Amino acid sequence: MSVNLLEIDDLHVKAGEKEILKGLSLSIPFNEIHAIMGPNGAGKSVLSNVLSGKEDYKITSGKIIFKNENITELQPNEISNLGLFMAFQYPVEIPGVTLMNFLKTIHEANRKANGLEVLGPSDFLKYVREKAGILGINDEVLKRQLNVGFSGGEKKRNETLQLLVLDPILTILDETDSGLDVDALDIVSDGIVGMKNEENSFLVITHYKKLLDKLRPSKVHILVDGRIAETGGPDLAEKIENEGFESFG
Amino acid sequence: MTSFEFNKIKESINSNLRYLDRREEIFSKFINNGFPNKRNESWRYFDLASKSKSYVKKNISNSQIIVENLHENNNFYDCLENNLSSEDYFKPCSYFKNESVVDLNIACGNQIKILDIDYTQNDPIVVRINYDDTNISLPRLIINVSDNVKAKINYINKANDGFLNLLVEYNIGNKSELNVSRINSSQGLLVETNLVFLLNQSTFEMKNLSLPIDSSRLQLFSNHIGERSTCTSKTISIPAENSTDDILVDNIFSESNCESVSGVRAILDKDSVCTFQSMIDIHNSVLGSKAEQDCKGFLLSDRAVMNAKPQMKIFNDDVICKHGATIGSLNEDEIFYLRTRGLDRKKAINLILDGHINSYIGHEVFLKEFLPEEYR
Repeated sequence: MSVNLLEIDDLHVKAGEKEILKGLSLSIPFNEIHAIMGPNGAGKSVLSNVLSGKEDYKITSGKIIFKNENITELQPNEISNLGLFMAFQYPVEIPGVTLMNFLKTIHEANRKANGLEVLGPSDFLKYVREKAGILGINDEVLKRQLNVGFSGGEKKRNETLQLLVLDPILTILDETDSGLDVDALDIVSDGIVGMKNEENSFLVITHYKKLLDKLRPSKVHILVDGRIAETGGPDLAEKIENEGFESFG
Repeated sequence: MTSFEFNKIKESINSNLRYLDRREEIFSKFINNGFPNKRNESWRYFDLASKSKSYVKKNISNSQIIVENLHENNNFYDCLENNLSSEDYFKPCSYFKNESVVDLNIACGNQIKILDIDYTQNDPIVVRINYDDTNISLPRLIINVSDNVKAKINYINKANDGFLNLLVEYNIGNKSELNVSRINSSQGLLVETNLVFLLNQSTFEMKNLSLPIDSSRLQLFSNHIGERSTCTSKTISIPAENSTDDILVDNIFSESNCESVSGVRAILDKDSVCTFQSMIDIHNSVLGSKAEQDCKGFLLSDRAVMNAKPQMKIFNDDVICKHGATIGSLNEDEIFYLRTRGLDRKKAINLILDGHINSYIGHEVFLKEFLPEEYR
């Protein structure tokens, strides 16, 4: 049995005929924040989508073990209900569904899938308000339609609210920092740091060192051309900031 | 079809009637035109001539028209044709040049009910149309709303069998407002023609939840004969497997500064078909009109079909008009997003569709009760 929360072993993934991930391996233990940095087109977003079970990609070899379970062939909702959450780079808009109704629906689905009792309406309202308060989200926002008319920053804050409500074991943040102003970045990163504990971990995909300065990751991985080219500590992000990705090519 | 096939229907025209000559004249016109079919109808509706064939040889029988929750000062009553003036009796015929379903109703229908709404009432009036016979039924319902009156009607059309050819006239008085929430859960062949006359500053709004199990057609003709009148018709169409739902909306602007909104959101699974045709018709002397029409069709199956034809006839420049049609399967990115939050594919799809229903007709409690379980 692995002590790691996530183990990716020699993962090869194709989009159509093109191989995007070319033997990627990665391990994330509990209670750690890991970061992935890499140039455009390296395969960062493909990796997060594959981990979430997106069917557009074909896994040609390798495996993904999450909580000692092989999730390589699982459906997105099955992976989600095991405790893996992806905060999207571009969250979609769902007209006509209020944020509150959406949170209630996904929280209920998650509880039921894990054999837990569903919270009653008043307990759930209290629970959501507590989580929303951490991010400075008020009741008016909870009444709005999911992501409809939200600014880029509001969408990312909403993603973070879903993260707090579902309280997953592994969170993938796919460029959550893009589109966030300085204040919003502080609120989101504080929310994430506050969540981190011995029973969860985070995988942060980013282009910018600023978020990593706040999250202080245990490890930084450089993803180039579908493989992890180098793994190091936070100083690796500093090196990327100064020198770019050219030396990893 | 030959006139012989309609003999039984013709027998229903009572020779003692006051307007016999005119009715027989209209019946002859109906025989000449017949019901619309795929060849002569302007668009892709179901073939009414073929669908109605087995019914036209049968007797005419009455539908049950029930009105509930009516304020004591408002009235609902039977009307013999002799009680209507010639002008009122033949009003629909003077409006339509060639609308054979209306011609048949006027020529042969023996059932006229009138609902007079003279006083504002806050609680919704409930109107139920039931038809359980296997024959043909030609009822006519006239709804008159007096000046300065506000009312709401919860309307349920539940034709369980046979062929129901229903004509409903709405006469909306000056500065009056009528909101209709309509349920169509017909299981037989249904053609319902709504003729709406809007006087000055009047408002008519119909939210329509259409759940047919056979072939259904709603045709709504709104006539802005008073200035600053508004007509809104929004349909959610969810026909059952192998069912067809035709929605035709015609907004005719005869006076200035009027507004209309018409549209359909169709959820189509398996072999269901929805057809939406909408017309904005603005006459040349009419100023300051605003009109929009649009439809969205969500195809949940490769075999489902949505036809859309938004049309405009505009003879004046002082107009703001919008129109559009979107038909396709659901956005896979939206489905994936919801699935990554723990919802299985079916629940994700239902949540998206539920959202589209809510954003289109709002949280209308009466309509929501009739929605299929998965969209409530």
